[in-house]
Amino acid sequence: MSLHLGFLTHVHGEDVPAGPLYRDLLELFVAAEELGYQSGWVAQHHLQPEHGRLPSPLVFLAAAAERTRRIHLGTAVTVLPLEHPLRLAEDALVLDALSGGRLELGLGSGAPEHDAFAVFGRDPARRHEDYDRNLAELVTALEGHDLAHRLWDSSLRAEVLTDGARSGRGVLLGVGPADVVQRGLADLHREVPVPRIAAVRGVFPGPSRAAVAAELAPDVLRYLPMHVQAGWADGSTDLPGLLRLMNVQYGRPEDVVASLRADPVLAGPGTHLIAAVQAESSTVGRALRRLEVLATTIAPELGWTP
Amino acid sequence: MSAFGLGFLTHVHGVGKPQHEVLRDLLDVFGAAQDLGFQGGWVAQHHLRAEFGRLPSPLVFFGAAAQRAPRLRLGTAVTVLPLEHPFRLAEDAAVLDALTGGALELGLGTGGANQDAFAAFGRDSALRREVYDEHLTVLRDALRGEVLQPPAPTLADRLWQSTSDEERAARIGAEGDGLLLGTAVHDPLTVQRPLALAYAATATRPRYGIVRAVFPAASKQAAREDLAPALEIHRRAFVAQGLTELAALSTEDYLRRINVHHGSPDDIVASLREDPALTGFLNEDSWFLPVVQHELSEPAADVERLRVIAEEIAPALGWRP
Repeated sequence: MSLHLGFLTHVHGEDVPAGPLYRDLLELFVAAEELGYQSGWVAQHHLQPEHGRLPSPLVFLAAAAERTRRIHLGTAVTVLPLEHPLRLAEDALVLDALSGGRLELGLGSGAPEHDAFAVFGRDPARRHEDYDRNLAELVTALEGHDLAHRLWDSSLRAEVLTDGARSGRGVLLGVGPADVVQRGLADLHREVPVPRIAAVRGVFPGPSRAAVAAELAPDVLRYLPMHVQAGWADGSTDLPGLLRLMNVQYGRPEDVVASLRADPVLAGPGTHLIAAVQAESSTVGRALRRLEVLATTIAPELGWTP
Repeated sequence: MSAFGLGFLTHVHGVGKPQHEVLRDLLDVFGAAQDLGFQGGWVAQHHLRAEFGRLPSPLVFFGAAAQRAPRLRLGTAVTVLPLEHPFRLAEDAAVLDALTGGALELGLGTGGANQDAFAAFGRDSALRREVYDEHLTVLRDALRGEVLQPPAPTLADRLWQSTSDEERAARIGAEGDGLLLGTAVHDPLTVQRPLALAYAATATRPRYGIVRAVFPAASKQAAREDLAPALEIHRRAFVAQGLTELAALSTEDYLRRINVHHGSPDDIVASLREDPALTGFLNEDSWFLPVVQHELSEPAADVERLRVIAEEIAPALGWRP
């Protein structure tokens, strides 16, 4: 089966008002469709003024649906513990109808940010229980609808992915080193008749690995404490080490081709490459140039055709 | 300057049609209305309805509608506030407002017509007014506060409320919100006018969104014949809600009871002018919101009715495109 190529943005935009940011993002979806991308995904974040500026992905994706015809429209992810599952099902079905069945609904438990959970009256310590309960209610509400076959889990909990494989959900693999964490999780979906295993990968082509690493440094070093806390990194982890733990593909196009070929998920059971092309300090314009390089230079080397 | 803003309201019916067709038709109506010079498109939110009231997610729909009809202001009449998480609603509204450059008019109600849906959302419809008040406080605080992202500081000035209680109407005025009038079973003289007067007495910035069913046709008789099958569906729903006194009314009396203005454009202009809770209240910050979709109507017929309103009826009432 040929590779499915999608892109993801977390909707960053330092010092840009939300209106122009969202409208630029719409143009990114239009351009990506023209480049042949099969899916475009946005992340949901609450209360974030600079990075992660989109709390309502389905409202935004409805606008994107009207501006595009073919590209699938995804959330990676919707923070399920903070949604009312029936209300989410309503919004998702309306968007799915508006878009002609193009919604891909990715679900996660969210980062345990106290403030965001507090405004919704939820406890971040109980987010996994909330995820499981809301997922069950969402699945019930979507019974009999095509959208039930376009759900995705993003989770590091094997029991969630095992149940997802059994229930026909796809898996989004972004966080966690691909070799020691993601490959094992991906294998839980191996035996599914039509597996949907997405590797979510930062893809940052540039003049050289060193130049891109230096450019990304301020954006990625903020994630070091989280990797230390998870036990994946320690005090001796340097910038290239952290980029590896974060599965970032960077460097000249041929460097990116080589590292994507070596990616344990994509070289194994992976079916989808979802390229995250916007780092915290990237503009939408910068993200678009990365999408162009990926679609025209890198992905064809991996056997992808638009 | 125009005497009022001209919009339209739809409850989004579509008996027997798949959801994607209902929504595509609705987008077409929004696009056509913009071309006819309408200034606003308003929709009602209903939950768990399979045939009539097919739109549970007005703000998601508006995301698409804003691309199709970018000059229209986009209103809800109403969002069922007790069934929303008010902060989550504020986020959706803020995103839509940013995306559209401030096009949203957010109308709120307690959900009297959605009482059958409360249990599915874990709510008791008997407590809907209390929950509404709590949620309105959270929503308003979110819109005016520092925490909400994206910020939407001016959206708090574009809230509208619907009520059937005069004390509440007075409170809505004092709070600075607009008043939505025109629930079908509210008599214009004995219910709507007192609500409007109670609101006017306290309103710091009086503005009304006044909903009226308007069905132009060749004649009153032709309009009645066209409406008759849909009216029976409409009547059955009201009777099922407990309004049993409606069951015995003639078509003519029933149309009068639910405020349906119908007939030739001249007939309609005359009856709208006589309406005791309409032209006397409309001002330049207000909306006249005709409803042209009935339970069985097709989008082409809805658009034709909108055309007659924009070209013949609304101008006679002082509206200028």
